[in-house]
Amino acid sequence: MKDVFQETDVLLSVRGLSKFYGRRIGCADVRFDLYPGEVMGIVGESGSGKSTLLNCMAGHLAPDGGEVLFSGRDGIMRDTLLMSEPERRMLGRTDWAFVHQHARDGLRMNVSAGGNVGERLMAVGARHYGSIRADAIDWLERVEIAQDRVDDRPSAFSGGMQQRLQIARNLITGPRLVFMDEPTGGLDVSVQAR
Amino acid sequence: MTDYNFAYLDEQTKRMIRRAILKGLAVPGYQVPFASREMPMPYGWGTGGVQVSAAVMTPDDTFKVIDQGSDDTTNAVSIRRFFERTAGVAVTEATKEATVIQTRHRIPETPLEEGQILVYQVPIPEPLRFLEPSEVETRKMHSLEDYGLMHVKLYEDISQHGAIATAYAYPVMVEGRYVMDPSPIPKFDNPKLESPAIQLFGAGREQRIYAVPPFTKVESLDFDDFPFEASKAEGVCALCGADNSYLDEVIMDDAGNRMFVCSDTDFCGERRQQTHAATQGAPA
Repeated sequence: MKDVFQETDVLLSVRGLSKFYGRRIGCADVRFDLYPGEVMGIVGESGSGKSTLLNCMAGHLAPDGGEVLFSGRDGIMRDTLLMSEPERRMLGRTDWAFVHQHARDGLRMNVSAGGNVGERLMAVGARHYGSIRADAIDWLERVEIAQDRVDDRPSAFSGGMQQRLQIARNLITGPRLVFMDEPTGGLDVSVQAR
Repeated sequence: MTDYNFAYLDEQTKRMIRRAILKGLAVPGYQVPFASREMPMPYGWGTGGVQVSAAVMTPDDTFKVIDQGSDDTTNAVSIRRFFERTAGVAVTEATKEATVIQTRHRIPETPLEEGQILVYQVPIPEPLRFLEPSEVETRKMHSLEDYGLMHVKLYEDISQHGAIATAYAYPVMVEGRYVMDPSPIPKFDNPKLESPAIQLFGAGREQRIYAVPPFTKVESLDFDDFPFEASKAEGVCALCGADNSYLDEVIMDDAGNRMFVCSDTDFCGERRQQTHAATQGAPA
């Protein structure tokens, strides 16, 4: 009985995920379930396939086998690897978020901080400048970036601020699943703790 | 005239271009690749527009060329003469009499009618180019209708300038599907993109053709609280007194004196003939 309940409650279910780079193994037969509210850390030596696994799950890399089942807001489990590209992109900017190890990979460096944070909102159809900007400022404050930096470009930010900006940019649409690839690399110890 | 095929290009090339035009008309706003030819003029002088004009031209057509609104600048004169010599078609400066109009950076003030074809010269057909440098990625964005980035550009405009500062090549959404660069026309002309005439866009260097069929919905992108505005210089034409046409600013001397005149010379000249003489205007 307990199993059935958990089966419907699971947020992300990875089954037999494998990725090969030619004859070298990226990751092989990875399986786990992730429940809402759960934080899962993946630990391993460098080169052990952590990032490969993450990129396969997030749809950035095409795995050679396995399933990545995600529970949509309607509660139905779908294999994200079989989704069409538009569906997967929609997921990638609403329910999912991806925080890159290097902030530069996850930010638009020639667009202001406000534009960076607001991009996901605009991508899902927000068309009111005032409210987009208000949301962006709200999220900048939540990651402790001063309000008056909203029109500065990320290149004028320190490494730690860029990383926090990237996190704000990802969290603004209220994602239910956040993939993070060593996100706290450049952060101050005080911010890391938070 | 025996030295050239009608309208310079050979018939097979014209067929190839016509196929691209038909596809463009069938999928409004979609950029159709075509095998652009070398033309006897440099890139940037309207080689795309010239090829499109050559492909749609018939011996019965009357041809007009506009360069920044004007019929008598170098670009307009040389392209007009090119088709006079290679096609022997009638040419005109009057918008109403023309059946094929090739234009650079303007749509005529005189409303176009059914049966007319407006051919645009396009330098960079990709509206997402300066936001996303990769052609592979921009094509994917078009196919997936992934246009959030276009609004990021407008957002940046407002945050930096307090208003949407994009004044030309203002991006439009065609028939609710494709975001299109209307070529570097002033945004004043954007509302005229919804027209009874056929509008064809040719980019020679970039090898793309796209089209807006008659009576197609063309919306300029904007925000709810910063709506699109078809802006023009404040003032009236010093020659004909028009207050509803797009104006060029002409610097008169070193003391800062300036005058505004209609950018569309045919429109202005016609008004002056109808004795709308204003401050400086003598009848044309």
